[in-house]
Amino acid sequence: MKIKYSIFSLVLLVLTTLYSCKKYLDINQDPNNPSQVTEQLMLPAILSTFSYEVAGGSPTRFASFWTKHLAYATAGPHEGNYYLTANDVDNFWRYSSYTSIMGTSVELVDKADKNGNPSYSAIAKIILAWNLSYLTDCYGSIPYSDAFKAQLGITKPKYDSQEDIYKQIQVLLDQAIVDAGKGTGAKPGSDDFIYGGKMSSWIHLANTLKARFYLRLSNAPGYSAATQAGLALTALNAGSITADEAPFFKYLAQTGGENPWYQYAVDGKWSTSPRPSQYYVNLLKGSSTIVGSSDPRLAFQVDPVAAGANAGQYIGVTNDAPPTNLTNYSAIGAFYAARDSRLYLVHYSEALFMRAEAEFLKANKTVNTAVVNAYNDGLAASMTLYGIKVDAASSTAETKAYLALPEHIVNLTTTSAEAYRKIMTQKYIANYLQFEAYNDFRRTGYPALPINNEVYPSVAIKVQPVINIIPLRLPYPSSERSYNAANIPTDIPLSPSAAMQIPLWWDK
Amino acid sequence: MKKLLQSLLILMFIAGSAIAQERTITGTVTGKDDGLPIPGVSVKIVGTQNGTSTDGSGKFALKADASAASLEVSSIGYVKQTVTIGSSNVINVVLATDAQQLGEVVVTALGVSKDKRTLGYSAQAVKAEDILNSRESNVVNALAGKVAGVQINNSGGQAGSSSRITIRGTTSLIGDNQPLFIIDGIPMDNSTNRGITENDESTLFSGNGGNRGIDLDPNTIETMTVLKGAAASALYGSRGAMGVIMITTKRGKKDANRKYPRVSFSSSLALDNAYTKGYQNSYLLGTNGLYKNGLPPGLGGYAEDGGATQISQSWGPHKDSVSQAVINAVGMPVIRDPRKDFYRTGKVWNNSVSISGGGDISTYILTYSNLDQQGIVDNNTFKRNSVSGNFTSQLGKDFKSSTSVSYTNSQNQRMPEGNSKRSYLYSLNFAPISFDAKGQYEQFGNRSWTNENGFNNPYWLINNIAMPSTVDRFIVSNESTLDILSWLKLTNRVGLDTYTDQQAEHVNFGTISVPRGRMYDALIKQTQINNDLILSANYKINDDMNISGLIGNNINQRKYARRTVRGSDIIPGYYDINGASTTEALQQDEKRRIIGVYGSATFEYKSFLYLNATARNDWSSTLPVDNNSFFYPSVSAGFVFTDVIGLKENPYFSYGKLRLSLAQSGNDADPYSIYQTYLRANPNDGQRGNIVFPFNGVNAFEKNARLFNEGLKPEKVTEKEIGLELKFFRNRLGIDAAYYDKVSKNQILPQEVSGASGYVDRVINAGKIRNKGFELTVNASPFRTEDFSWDIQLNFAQNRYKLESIAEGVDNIFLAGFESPQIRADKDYGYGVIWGTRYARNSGGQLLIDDDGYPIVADDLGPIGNVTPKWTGGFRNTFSYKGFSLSTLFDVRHGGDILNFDLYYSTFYGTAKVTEQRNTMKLWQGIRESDGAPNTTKILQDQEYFQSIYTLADENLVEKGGFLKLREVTLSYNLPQKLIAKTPFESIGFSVTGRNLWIKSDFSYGDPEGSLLGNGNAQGFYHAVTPGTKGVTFGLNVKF
Repeated sequence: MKIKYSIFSLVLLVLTTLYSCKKYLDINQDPNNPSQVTEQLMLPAILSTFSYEVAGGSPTRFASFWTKHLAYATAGPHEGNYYLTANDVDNFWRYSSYTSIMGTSVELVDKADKNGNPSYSAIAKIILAWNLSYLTDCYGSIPYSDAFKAQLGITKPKYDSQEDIYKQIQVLLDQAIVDAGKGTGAKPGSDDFIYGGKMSSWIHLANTLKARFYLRLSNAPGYSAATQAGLALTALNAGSITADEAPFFKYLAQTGGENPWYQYAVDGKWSTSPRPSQYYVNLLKGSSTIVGSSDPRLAFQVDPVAAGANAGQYIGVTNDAPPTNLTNYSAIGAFYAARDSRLYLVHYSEALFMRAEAEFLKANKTVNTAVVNAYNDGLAASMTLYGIKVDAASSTAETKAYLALPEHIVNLTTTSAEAYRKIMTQKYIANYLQFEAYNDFRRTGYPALPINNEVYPSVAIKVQPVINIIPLRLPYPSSERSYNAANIPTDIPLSPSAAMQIPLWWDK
Repeated sequence: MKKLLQSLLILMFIAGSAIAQERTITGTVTGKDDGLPIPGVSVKIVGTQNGTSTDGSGKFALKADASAASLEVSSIGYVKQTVTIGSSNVINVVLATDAQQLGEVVVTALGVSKDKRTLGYSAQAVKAEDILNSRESNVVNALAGKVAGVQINNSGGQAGSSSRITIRGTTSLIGDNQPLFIIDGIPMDNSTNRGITENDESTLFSGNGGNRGIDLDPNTIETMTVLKGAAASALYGSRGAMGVIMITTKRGKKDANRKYPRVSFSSSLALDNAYTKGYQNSYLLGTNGLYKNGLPPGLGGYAEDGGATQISQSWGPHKDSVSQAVINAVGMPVIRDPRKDFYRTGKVWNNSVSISGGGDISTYILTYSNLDQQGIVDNNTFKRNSVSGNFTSQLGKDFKSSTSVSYTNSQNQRMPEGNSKRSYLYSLNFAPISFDAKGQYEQFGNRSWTNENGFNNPYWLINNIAMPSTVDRFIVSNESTLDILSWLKLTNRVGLDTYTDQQAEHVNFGTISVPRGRMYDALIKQTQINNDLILSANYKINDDMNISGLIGNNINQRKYARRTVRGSDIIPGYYDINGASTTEALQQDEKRRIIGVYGSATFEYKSFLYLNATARNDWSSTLPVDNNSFFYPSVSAGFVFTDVIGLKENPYFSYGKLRLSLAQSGNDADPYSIYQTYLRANPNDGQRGNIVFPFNGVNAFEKNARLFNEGLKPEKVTEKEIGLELKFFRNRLGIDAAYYDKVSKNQILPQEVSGASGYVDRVINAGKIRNKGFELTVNASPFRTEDFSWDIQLNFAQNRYKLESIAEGVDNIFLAGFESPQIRADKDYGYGVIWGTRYARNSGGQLLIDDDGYPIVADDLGPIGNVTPKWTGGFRNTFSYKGFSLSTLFDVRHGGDILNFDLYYSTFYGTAKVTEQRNTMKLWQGIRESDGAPNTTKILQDQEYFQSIYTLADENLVEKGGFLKLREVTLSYNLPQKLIAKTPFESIGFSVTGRNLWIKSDFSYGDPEGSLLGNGNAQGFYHAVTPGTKGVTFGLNVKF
């Protein structure tokens, strides 16, 4: 009897188990992370990550130290005096660019194409092209044609030359313009943090970026400055961004939503050492004896010292530990680094300064009316960004004096070199905390920045810059050295300080 | 599975045809001490070869003819007995333990008690009193030094800290490597839970809470048996790869003569003190030899150089050479010892009472225990209340049921540790000797010797930051056994282990680094359900041969859920989520299941040859559905060669056994490693800033940077073991040695790939690890008289780890730390390598020195140490004289380094002991790089040297982690029986135990046990960890 029961129950149990085994064990779908998401959920991811980690992230931070917009007021060695390791540049490559932003963008393009939603495809292609430009402008040759193919077993993608990357960037932007104009399928709305789904603005942005990237190759080997300028003007004339279309990411005055400059340099969670550089503050302050040399934008780009003996003054830092407390120095202006400040991805003034430069280059580096007009428009747009009035009726005496100072004027009598310097210097000031200022400096040499070895008044320098030129590129990141070493171009040495001294292809 | 079913049915038919018809003598053999049945006892009819042995319930059945007069009942470890056969067919026998022999019955896999003699693999047991006498609140710590091949790493001195236990080295590259805990036959969770994930906040910045083995009440433990090798744990299949800790709890004893239940009561109080070595105590706050008093400007602030009055550095004047200017201005600075002043005497009260007893058919035990620990840091507490009971009943002639229930409430109030300004150690370890942090805190709150960008006041931190945790845990199990035939029984064992862990973080408004304050509330729920249905047989073929075995089925489900709400910008001192300006909800869920079918067979020949084979097949939910079935076999043999060569009764060498085994076990994947997913976007800068979604009402998902693998296989561990057991001089000396060779293959690991492939890493099966090792246990009783005895136990273990290969293209795996320094597994340098910056050396290993006399730092990073010890050991001596007993346990860890990352900061800030050498000259021994000549240029070790040059080489942060410690010394006294015979008391005992009273170590802080990362794989990372403690415990044990 007992045996029968036992056999019965055992057999029953085993049979039940067998029967339901497969189903019982099929519970391996991650309940916390979805296996499918819509385009509406992917678009905000690439926009927010691109804004926070790239346009307001590490490449721009490095660039801001090297263009002297900022200095790192701590005893070195650190990025302020050109000390970088292959690890320091790893996150930008590996996590921000190739996985979060570009990896997601590639998937978004595939998905949007498959689902017939070209508007999403267009934006993803613009972000992909844009991020590629940041990468190649930092590292030179980078993988693209062979990239994003780990599923196919390609875990060590080969590198494409910078020239090929720039061709691909233009192709992507052209495709984006076509896709953005289709007007079919799902349209972005609040998921488009930049334009709220207004595709015409995306087309204007793509044109503006095209112009930027044509101009980028003005001095590239085998490229003619005049030709590139012509291409840039064509792109701008096809419809570039207006003042209202300057793309920006609006941050929020709440924890977890704050502007990246605020979180990086102001909120005190980690360090408040990155501050406007002594060089830059002094440049904008001008000379007390020269009327008009004081830049009215200073008050918007730089905060006066809040308290203490220097309260109310503008005092910059150098790339060394300051002799007194950090709070005795200026911080980044609230326009850029308040909790809820906007982060501009491109300034309207840049489109105008690009036009000025393009007209200048197209005319074989001579000044004509088109150059003068575009220059004046650019300077006015840069002032207007901060609400500084530039029309004769309502501008302040300071602004008037600034605009009237010969140093700030480009006219038909300005010499070629002077005109180029002035255009690029004004663009440099207008592009405060923009990565583009670093590209322009490398491409044109303007403004003529000294290396980061300034000292505080009556203090000797403690740590000299690690290399004696302003870095020309980033070293290749540690993860590539570890997992893709064979494909790294052999002309870029392992040593970061040596690598940083080798110019990019378009900078040769 | 089909095949197994067939064999099952065949077995049933055999069973059906084997019902006996003749007169059969049956009975139960029980132990005199505990009344529990004894399995494996040999029962023989005297003068014949007719015999059998008892089953798992101590029962036997024996055919006998009319001439049978008496039974011989014998078992190793018990005094042999001869019983006359009367008219009754039922003979119950009570055996007394043989004091000359050591306890020989061990609990093996699936809770099967076996005579140690029959085993073909090593298993080592630890007795109740050895666990209790260690006076550790975390039961894992109680094993330290007691079992060969088991390494315990305690994560630090905070009450409620976690401890790591590994058996025979690191089996899995990135798996957790913690053994499976089995309590009364059912698995018990021993994980460490955090209220937020590593992604949300790294352990580096908060430290780790306790491993949940801490919920176990040591008072209820009867024995702990460690199954070390794969052959021992093969029946646990994919869960047994890291070894198994089998815990058996105490049971009630049959004692029909007692009128009242037996009551035992124990009580103890421990007093603990911190080790606070490793700091300079001569130089004051300041810089360049000039004094700063650390108070804010305008509020009494003073600086000798007229500059800033507050600074983080102790580079001021020597306490004996404070300038007259300072004394005139602010008086002579008062010198204190900030560390010593900060720590209090920790106290642990431990009270436990149990009642137990039993009648003819049932036994019971009920235990209540209360542990109340006040840590060495103010507001650090651990409290545990537990109630547990076991009820065992013979419900029918052939049916027995045993139910255990335990409820534990554990409450821990912990302070964050680690590399964060929220960590009190991050202030305290760098605190100057000339600043009254406590006084300033009491008057002004969070005011320290630094300005608003510097350190929090450590006293402020311990009163304004907390990480409380409350665990409510139930473990319920039932084991029911039906005796189908005298040699065949069916057992079902069902168990439930479930708990909730309510965790929180409170960071008050005004904390430097989190100026607006923050909090979280997390509820974690873990549930494990496990069922084993086992049909077991023990069949005597003839006098010489016995076959026993089992087949069974296992179903296991583990569920985990966590719900966390996080808030920022709080109302000062108020920790309700509704007071936070921004909130965020986080959630994590996990569910995994395993179905297993297993079988085991043991063949015995003439009580000297034992052959055992096991097989298990697992189906795991974490593996691909169509490829989720895996098979784990094992074979082992035990051969008592002394019986064969006629030495059985030899007084000098009576017992020798050779063990051989070969086994496979495995390790399945983590859940959700198969299918690709999207992750919520979290833009961040890798430092401290981020954007939290949903942002402005919009949510965002990005691709997962990990490429999962739909073809994943389980990790496979293959282990060969050979062992030898020897006993000499009538068992006065016993030696047990084992050598093993364990190879782990198909490691499941994330292979890092070029980011440009679109992924950071991909999950693959790759890699091969080899652990070879030698273990030795020696037991000896060199001296034994009526009143006096001296017992020795020695454990020794040596494990050689070799990473034979990782994956193609993978040279190392990051385990923990920073980019530099870090702890990693490295293809060329093994597991637990400390990797970081180091000095340049020539091919002869000599330091390269520059022309100014400074050692040159190498361009590349490299191995600067290894945290894995060379060997470990324990040495226990117990002396008993009448009622007195003195026991000492020395614990040795030889070799192994510690990365003391505190030194990186404490050298810079001038509090490290090494900075006492400030302003002395030093000659670096080495070769001048420029001309190859020996260096002769001395350098001045000034402030700049220590701050900017000394710590450039991480190798200066590596310290020796080996130790020899007097882990326990226990003096106990039991009142003589004649004194208490007339009282209601059965026994009264007192004890005094010292813990860690003496440590020999080169580690600058004194006690090298500690790890910021808790019980994770990366041990030896010491940074802002609460120091270890030493203490004395006074105990009282009463039974009546």
